[in-house]
Amino acid sequence: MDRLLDCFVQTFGINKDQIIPLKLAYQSIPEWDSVGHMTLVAEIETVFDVRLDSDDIIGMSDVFKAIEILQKHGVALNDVVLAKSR
Amino acid sequence: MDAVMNDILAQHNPSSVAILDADQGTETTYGQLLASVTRTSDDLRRELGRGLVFQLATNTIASIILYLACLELRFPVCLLDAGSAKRLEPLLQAFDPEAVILPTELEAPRDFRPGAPLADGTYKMCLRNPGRRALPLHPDLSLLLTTSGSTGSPKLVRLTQNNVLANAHSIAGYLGIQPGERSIQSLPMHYSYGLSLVNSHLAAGATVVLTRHSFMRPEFWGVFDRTRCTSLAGVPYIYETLHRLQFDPKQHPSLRTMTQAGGGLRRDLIQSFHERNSSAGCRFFVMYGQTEATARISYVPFEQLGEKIGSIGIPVPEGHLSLAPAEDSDQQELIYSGPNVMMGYAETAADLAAGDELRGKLRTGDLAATDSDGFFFLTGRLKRFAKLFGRRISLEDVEKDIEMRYSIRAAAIDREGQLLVYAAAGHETDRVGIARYLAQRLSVPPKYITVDAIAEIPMTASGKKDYKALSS
Repeated sequence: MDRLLDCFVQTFGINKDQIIPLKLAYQSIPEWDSVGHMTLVAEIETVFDVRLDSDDIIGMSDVFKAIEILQKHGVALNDVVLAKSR
Repeated sequence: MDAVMNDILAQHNPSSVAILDADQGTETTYGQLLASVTRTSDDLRRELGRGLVFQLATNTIASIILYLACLELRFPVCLLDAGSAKRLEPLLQAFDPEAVILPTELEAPRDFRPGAPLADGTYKMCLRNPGRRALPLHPDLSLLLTTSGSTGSPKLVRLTQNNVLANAHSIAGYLGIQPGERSIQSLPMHYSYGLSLVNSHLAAGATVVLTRHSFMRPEFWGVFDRTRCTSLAGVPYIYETLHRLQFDPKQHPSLRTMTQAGGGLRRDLIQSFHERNSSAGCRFFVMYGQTEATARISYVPFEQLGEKIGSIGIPVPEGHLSLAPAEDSDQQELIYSGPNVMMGYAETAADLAAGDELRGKLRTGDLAATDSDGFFFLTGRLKRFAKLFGRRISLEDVEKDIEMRYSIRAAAIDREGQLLVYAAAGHETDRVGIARYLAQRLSVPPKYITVDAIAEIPMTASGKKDYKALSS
């Protein structure tokens, strides 16, 4: 989970405490525009060594969706952190 | 007078649709647009008289009407990104506009009175507090565009009504834009390429389709298909993204034309889009331009793209390209002449009174060569710019900004589409802080900016920063 949060931190230049899973979404901050989105996709692909298809890329519109998509690709994320942030 | 009305709006069938707002589901015909622009220009003339206007532009009907009204009146209007209102301050300071026109929900800038509603009421005009002397403005000055999100001193491109009309007709000519076409407004209006979409389609009597959705959302393509759009424009990163999303033109039966500008697209992607568009019966135009030439300078005729991958093509109608010996280089500089070449730059309010300094001839700052068919190819850059996401960033401005702000020596270079800044300081250079500052200032993801500490910036024998040594 930390590695995923780092992707958001790295891509958007925000602090970890700004990552509120239900609020941080596509176009919710100026940094997460279409350019930021593709940067995030590239970062997640590098960090987790996955190849996202077009449905994944379009569907990854918030932090939870990113978690879901990574789980679909067999990436195990720490569920405890996830439950707590919900 | 009345050039915009006569040249663009009144030429077309008053009942055909000029602007289709797909999100609101409203259509504005040429007849209605003409009436709205007339009414709005009357309001502007009454409220303002001729004065410098800053317009925070959005891709909306109101924004287009206001822009056209200013252009018609030759009220110099500077189009700016409504999304980055916080970067307005240095421009306000440097140019001291008479009025700021902005969406109703945004706050009036400091020193400006709260505004009265304009156009359809979604925009308002805030006038400067009284007491200051009006600026002298050159009578031909009509439009001001920013060259990029560069840092340091703000720099505007000074354009005339004639520049805009000439380039609009020229683009409509070589693209063969017909009244039945529908162009989706995929790029922002404050950006020269985005503005040229509006200008060229209105000049041709075609339809501009507006949506707030980004090209990478399914909603955008829903609008595209539902309103039967015929053309799509994109900068390189849009094409890179469409490629990643396995974009297939065949899935959008109304699509007939794709255009690309705003920086060089990778050759393999040009080839790939050439192939998939050809097989779908869709024309693909690779183009080149600069805001200094209003927008468009050259294009590759789509039938010849297969043999001319990597070329910037031939000059647009009414334009001319040539090569001239370049300073500090053994290569040739690309020179463009045409009716769309700007009057010059403005860095201060005083520059707005200046006349046509370029007289139709623009040194592009790009190094180029030509082949036996008269097609041009870029070979390098004379001016030092980085091109990130279709935006041109002056490396010199980045350096100046960092040097002033952090009191250190800095050298900025473009390394494969990333901005690399060398910061020279004896101790404790705040590399992360500098990178973060630049990312914010330039609106670029921090990932694309690297700041490296270096003991000393290498210098050439003639006392200039040695970029060759830094790049190797």
